[in-house]
Amino acid sequence: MSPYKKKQKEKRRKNLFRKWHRRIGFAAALFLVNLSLTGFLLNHSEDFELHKSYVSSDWLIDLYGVKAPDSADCIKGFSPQNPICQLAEKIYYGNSLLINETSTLVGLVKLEQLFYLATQQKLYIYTDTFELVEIMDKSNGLPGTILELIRFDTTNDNINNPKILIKTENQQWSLQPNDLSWQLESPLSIMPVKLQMRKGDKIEELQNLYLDKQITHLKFIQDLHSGRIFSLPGKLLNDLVALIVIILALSGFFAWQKRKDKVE
Amino acid sequence: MGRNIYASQAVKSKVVMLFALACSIFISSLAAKSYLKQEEFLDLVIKQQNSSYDLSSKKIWLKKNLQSKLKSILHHKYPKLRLRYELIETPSGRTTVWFLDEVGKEKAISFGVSVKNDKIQVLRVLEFRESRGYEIHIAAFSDQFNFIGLNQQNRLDRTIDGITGATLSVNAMKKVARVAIILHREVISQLTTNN
Repeated sequence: MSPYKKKQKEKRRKNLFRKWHRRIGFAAALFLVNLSLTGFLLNHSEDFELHKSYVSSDWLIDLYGVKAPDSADCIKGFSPQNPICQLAEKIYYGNSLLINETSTLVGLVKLEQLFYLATQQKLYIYTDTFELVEIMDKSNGLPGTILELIRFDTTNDNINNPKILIKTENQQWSLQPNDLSWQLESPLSIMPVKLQMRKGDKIEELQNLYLDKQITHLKFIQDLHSGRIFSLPGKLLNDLVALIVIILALSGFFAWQKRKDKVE
Repeated sequence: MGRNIYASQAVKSKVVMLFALACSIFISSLAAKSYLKQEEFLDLVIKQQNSSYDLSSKKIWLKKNLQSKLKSILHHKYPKLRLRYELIETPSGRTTVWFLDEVGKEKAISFGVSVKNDKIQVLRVLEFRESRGYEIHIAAFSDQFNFIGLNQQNRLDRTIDGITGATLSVNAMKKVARVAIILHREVISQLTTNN
């Protein structure tokens, strides 16, 4: 091959190399911008409190495949305007989220200006405007899994003496108001009627409230950063872009090295 | 060729070990860690009493004035209106024992704190629910809070050495220490007024 033809071949090879380096660079640019922006946000996620705010877009929530439960369990006979209902792991008072609680809602009792709301694992004490007073669980003396919550009225010397009673697996306990300890009670001969649970109606509002608190902005940006938002194809594409960026860096270095050698 | 086989086996076993270590770290970081129960912490505090003592369970309502002091430390209201505490009375003075929760990054960390003469006696992590920062439960770290008090600005009167990667957990622990001393002062003030 003549020197001229060799030179032409070399030139064509270099142009091809640079052309593909450019094309791949452009293709990767979009992903790099995404990585940079999401990386910046993740680096300052606490400052922006991204873990405290939630995605509310319907199509994004659908993309994650999150669905609200079909039914809610509500406390029967309690305030039709502001019912207390449990939808999966969330308990609502009207349209406000009251607590995140994974164990099953058991019942509600009012005693001396305080509401006692029981789930199987905890007893929540609220004021009559539902400000949280205290939580009782096994760490501070709750004697077992709550199966029933009852207000029990006893009379001593014509003085009405209402008590909070809980039923655990084999025993009944009453709450002592002075020191909030639990006293074992003998089985009651007549069980007072407890509040029943009912299936909630008009739960679309609750379902919307539920969905609005499922995906934090932090999770969304983490998934966008890693490509996980598009499941496996997204992750693989991100991996491919990572590989491309490495190749670009190496090819760019070699190209620079060659030019430098040539100049020298 | 023999040497190559051994070399590749050595590499393989290193990869397997690294993978297993990574898995164990990941798995261990997922679950909430319970280090001490409230009764155990109370026993720990009681054992430190060198004389006869009187133990009683009490309650304090977090009224507006007190909540605003706590809010200035925590940057949010304490989420309950009432707190229970244990009061240990000895001839040498009164110790209050508190069980407080504070969020590190996303989840609450449960602490046990005892305070006497406006100084922390013992501060321990009872339960840790985050995936990172659990090193604060180590006694060598939490012992830094022993006999720490507050200065005039209600900040800790000594520097606490932090832990890399556990900044938010350390901050939560510092806040709880300050809150416990404020609560202790309030209790003592109320008891003194009642007496």
